[in-house]
Amino acid sequence: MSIDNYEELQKFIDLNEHYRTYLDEHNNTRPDGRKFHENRSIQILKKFLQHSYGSSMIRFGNTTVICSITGQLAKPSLKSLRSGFIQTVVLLPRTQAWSTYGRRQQIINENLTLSQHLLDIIYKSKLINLEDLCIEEGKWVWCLQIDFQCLNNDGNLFDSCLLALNVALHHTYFPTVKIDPDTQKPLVYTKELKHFQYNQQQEPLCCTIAVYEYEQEYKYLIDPTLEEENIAKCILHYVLLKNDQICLIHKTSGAPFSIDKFHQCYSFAREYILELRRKLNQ
Amino acid sequence: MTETISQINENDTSIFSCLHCKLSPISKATGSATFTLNDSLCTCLLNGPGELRQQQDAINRLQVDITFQARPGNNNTNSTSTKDKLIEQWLETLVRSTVLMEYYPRSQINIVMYEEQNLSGEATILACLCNTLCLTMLDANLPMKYAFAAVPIVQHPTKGLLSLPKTKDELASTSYFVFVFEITLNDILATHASGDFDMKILEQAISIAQPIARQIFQFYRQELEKRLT
Repeated sequence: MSIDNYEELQKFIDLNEHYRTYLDEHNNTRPDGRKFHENRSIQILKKFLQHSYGSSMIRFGNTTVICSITGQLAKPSLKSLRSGFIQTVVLLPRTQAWSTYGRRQQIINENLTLSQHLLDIIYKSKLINLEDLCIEEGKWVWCLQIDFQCLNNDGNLFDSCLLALNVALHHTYFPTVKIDPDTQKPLVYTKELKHFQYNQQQEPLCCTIAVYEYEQEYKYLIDPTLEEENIAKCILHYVLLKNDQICLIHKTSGAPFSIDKFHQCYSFAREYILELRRKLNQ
Repeated sequence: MTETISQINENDTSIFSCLHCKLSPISKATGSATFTLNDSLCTCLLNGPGELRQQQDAINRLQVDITFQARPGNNNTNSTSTKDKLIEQWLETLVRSTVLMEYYPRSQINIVMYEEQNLSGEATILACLCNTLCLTMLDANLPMKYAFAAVPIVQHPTKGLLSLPKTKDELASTSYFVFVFEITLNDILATHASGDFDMKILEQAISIAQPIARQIFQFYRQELEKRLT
């Protein structure tokens, strides 16, 4: 990290102070040039991994996330003989921790919370029905493994992971599996690929808003970078489905909110996600 | 499917039947509390501002260390599952924003939370944990900006929005909301809402939850008064 000029030195010593002085000079813009409600440029890359059934890469400015979906055959649990399994794992490499102290713990925490959020969203929005993963009842089911590899963490991992998941699922192809009637073993035909059936109607997409307090009022920073996430008083995640129903609202503690602030953030989230959907359907 | 707000013709005493609390069950700790909300029971203990380990960085503020131990036996491993980690991180932000961190530079507090019983789903246990945490911090006499209380609300397919739901109702519900209110302005400090709903239902849920939060604060006051007399 270079400390060449005065601005970078100020950022290193006290990020909060740097942000405040920047907002004092330039009204309504953040240090990377965006307005408060603007998102970063989004780049989408589909189907580029050869060994996984579905994959995608998303870039939100500098944040880069690769989503890769594979499946394994497994025996279903005795509790529900028709359901498959879904495992989401978020991997943030150790070099991406933003501070030197407590690096390992911080990485582990961020990975686990994000993995759990994504799994919750998949179940609650019924994006993937566990019964669809069944090959033969009581004998063989798919165990869907969804990996998110974060190559670069510049804030807003939640949005990028969820968008990557949507893009990857859209282009996932599973090999057909037939059960051999003589030996009862599954035969996997890797050349006969069929499109993965999932609930395309729901398209859960997230909007992350960092709340920053400036001059006694709250500024809502949409699509925050890593620095903005660190100085924010609290962070809001709104996950909306295609029909504008809310799937998840997660607000961390820090800035007390009244009902109208929730409405305000909801309207920001709706506009932002509308633009994401346009990008997704291109 | 028509959704109606369930009529709450409760007087003060009926919500107090869902709440029970015992302060300082663990005498060795700086502060501890056991709290019951319907069918969920949690214990929390806090070891007050003490010395900081060499590697940790706490420049001029308090270092907060929270551990959440779920009921062992549900999952096969001993380590914390991802769901527990999510709860832990959320509660950590709650502690960080409540405690006046600048008063204790270069010190740390250790908080351990145990979930002892949870028969219903996620909403009640989350709310129970938040309330236990607040009572523990009050019991330990940590300087706090405000006290907070969490209210669980679920959306039942036939009965509409229910607050402080019974186990049977909660297991049948589709979405749940947990709001953490603070005592000064009754504003929402933190939320975790999951399911399938829209802003109107959220608004209804908040308006149901606010008077209940006030009753929970009254309950805190009663418990602390009992301890001091």
